[in-house]
Amino acid sequence: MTRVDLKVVLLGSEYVGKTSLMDRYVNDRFRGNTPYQNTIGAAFAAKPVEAKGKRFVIGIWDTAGSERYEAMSRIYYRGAKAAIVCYDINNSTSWDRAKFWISELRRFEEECKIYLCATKLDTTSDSSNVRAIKYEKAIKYADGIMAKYVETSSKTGENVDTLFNMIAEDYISNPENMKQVEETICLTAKDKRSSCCIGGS
Amino acid sequence: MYAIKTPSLRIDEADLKCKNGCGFYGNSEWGGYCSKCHREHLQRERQRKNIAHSSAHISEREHGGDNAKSSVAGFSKFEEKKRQHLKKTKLLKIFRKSSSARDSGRPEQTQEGASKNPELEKLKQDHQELFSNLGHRVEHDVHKHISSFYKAIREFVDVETIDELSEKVQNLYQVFAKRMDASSNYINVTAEQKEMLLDYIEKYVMTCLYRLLFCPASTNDEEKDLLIQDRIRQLNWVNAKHLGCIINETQSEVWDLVYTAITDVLGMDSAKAPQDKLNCVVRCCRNIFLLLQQSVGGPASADEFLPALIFIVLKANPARLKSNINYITRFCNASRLMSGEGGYYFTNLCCAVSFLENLTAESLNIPADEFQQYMSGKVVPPNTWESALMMCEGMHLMYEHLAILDDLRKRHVCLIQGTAALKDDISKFKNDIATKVEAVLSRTPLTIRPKRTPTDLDSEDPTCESLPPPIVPQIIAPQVGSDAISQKILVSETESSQEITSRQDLFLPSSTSSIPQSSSQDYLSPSPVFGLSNSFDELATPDEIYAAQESLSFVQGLTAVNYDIDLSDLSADNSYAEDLAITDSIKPDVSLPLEPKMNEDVSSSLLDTNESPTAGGLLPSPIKPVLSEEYKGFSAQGWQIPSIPCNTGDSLPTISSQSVVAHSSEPISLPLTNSERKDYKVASEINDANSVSGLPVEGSGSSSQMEDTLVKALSGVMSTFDRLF
Repeated sequence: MTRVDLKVVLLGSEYVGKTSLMDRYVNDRFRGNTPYQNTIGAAFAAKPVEAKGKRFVIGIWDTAGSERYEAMSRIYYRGAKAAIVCYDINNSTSWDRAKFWISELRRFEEECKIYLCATKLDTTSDSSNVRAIKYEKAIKYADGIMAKYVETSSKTGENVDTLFNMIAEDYISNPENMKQVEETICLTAKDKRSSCCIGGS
Repeated sequence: MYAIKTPSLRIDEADLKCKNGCGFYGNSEWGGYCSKCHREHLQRERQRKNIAHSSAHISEREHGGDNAKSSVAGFSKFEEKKRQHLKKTKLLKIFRKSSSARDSGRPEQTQEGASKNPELEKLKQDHQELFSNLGHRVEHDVHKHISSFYKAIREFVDVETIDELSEKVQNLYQVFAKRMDASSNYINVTAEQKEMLLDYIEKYVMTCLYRLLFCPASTNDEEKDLLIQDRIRQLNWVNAKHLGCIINETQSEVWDLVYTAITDVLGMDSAKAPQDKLNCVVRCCRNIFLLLQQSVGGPASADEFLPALIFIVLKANPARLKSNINYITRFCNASRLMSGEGGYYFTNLCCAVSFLENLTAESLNIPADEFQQYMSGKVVPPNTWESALMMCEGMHLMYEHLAILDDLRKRHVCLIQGTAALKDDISKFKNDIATKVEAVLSRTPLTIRPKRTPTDLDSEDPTCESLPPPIVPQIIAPQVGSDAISQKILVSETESSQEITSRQDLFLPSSTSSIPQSSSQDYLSPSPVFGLSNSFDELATPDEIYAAQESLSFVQGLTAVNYDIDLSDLSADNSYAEDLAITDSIKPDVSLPLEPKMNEDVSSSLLDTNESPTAGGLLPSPIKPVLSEEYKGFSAQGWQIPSIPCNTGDSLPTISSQSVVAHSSEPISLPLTNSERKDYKVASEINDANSVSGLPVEGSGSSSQMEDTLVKALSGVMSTFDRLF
């Protein structure tokens, strides 16, 4: 049983690439069209991280993006320190949904830090494909809600680590969180395990 | 996909707000209040209750006091005071009684929870290894904490609400976690072990308190259980397609996993510790991931997972679902529940339950009226095609199982046939072995019996006794002596035979071969001499002597047997006879060639002696004269010895033949009498007559030595006899 210090929730519509993002970060790989048979599921992952000289465990919760389950998403937010709200860079509907998630978050989990995350950045390198959401628009919105904005590609791994490292550093920068981590570090000081586990595997 | 909106699931914001109007969101569980207002509300209620309670008491007491006052009239002040005091104590007693009654009820329960629970024993055993690693101090401290923990909760179970208890329990978890960090007892405990200890405490205490804390009467958990159960029952027409759940229903492996997942989530109710319940959920969810992997063809994400979990819960309809969820939420270590894999799955389960509770037509993407019809049970689910498919799947499974059964039956028949064949084989084998053994036994008795006869010889009493009778009557006077002798001799036989037994059969006495006889007589005759000396002296009359001779002759017949034994000893290494033979024959060359002869001749002669005692008594007589003669020549006197070497050297065969002739012609008695010491001289004369020649000096020397050894040996034998008798 892994002790998790930092709970991060992944929010976003279906097929925006939440699971791929997590898989890229935790296992440093991209599933694409060829599924890996060795993992049975990727809904939860815990990974030890180090930020500002402190070691702690980051637990990532994938959520169901389908709208029919959005009423329950509040249960997922509970106790989350950070939420990554994803949208498909080519899909304006997912952008609208992302805005909805953010408003929900602001309402129910005020302490939760929000990270607006554009996925599938690699698809924009192809000039024929025009991105639906412009960078300026996104960053403006993010600034407006006091959120950070990152554009990622799970396929290439671009900015994925940056995103999670940012989350870790922001978390530890908060003196309250720092205190908590230090307390738990006392608990786990001798415990230098570097294992990570993916839900179900 | 994004176009479809399901606003119906979102409740109006105003409904969510706290009833108090504080601006925070409320919760139906808290009576529509937010957590803060709910607690305040509860506290207010309790205070009100307390006030009412105490005021009631006060009024009662005052009332009692009034009564006392009114009745007091006319009594002395002292008495009045006393009575008042009495009444007060009575009232106090009543209070005490009621409280003590409550207390007395409790300890029973606690004992029941603490000691009689086999689950706790099992838990203790499971953690035995952990504690043996951690040492006694840690174990002691942990159990101390557990008991104080238990008492602390126990005390407030009836007094406080379930939420306060939950808070207390969570506090106690934290207290123990801090204590482990602070206490010196836990310095050597690793973080993982600390977690295990925390788990242990949680499991232990919660197993103890399970009855009190699970689905307590103070909450409406039970009602909710029933509600959700009915709700799920109503929704049983909902299938995977409705939920957008990708479950490959036509795959039997998937169905197996569905059933295992259902079993897991059903098992949640039977577990007692919150953590064990949580583990059931985790197992169930892992199985769901497995089945999704089968269905999707790759790792599943939360998008696929949640619908599948809802589907499983819907199909499983776990008992006391709400109670279990609340129990886990309240009493599972929060640090564990809020994060980590277990927490994630549990959250998903909560989501699933909440979805089922709030399920509407929109959330299933079907028209509202249709939904209503299904819910009311008026219409059978429209997915006839799907249900048909399901039926087909059922048929398919059935056929599969039938095929498996057929196969099993075939195998069973094969197995039975095989066992029958095996049984036959076994019995055949058994019979074969039995017949073989019988054959061997029937063959072997021949070989075995001779082996047994030697043992009979050892204890020869029966045969021996059968032998003596014909002889004994003849011996009138010296019965005692002769009997004794014979017995002694027999004993000597047995003794020597013990060494030789096996060979006895082979080396039989030969009347023809002279040397063995002589040697044997050397050996045998002295013993009678020693044994009989007294008795024979006494016997003066010739008749008696004759009788004695007769008996002795018989004895000697027996001794012939003995002597055979001695011969065999010759071939073996250590025996008197050997010494004798060698010394007698001086030239070993001579003695050696003789042995084979003996062997050849022996069989017939021995048979005679062995088979019929009477014959033995008769036959030996011809032999004995020879023996006695020769014997005297060797053993009795030094001067006789010279004759022997001569014999051995050249005239052994002649002597033997002569002796045989002499024996046959002469009566038995004479040689025997000679053998008695009385007639040493006679014997010597005979010896002289037979084989008179110059004595080689060496011969005499060797013979005297031989005599010495012989005497020693015989005395040894005698002593052993004495001991035996």
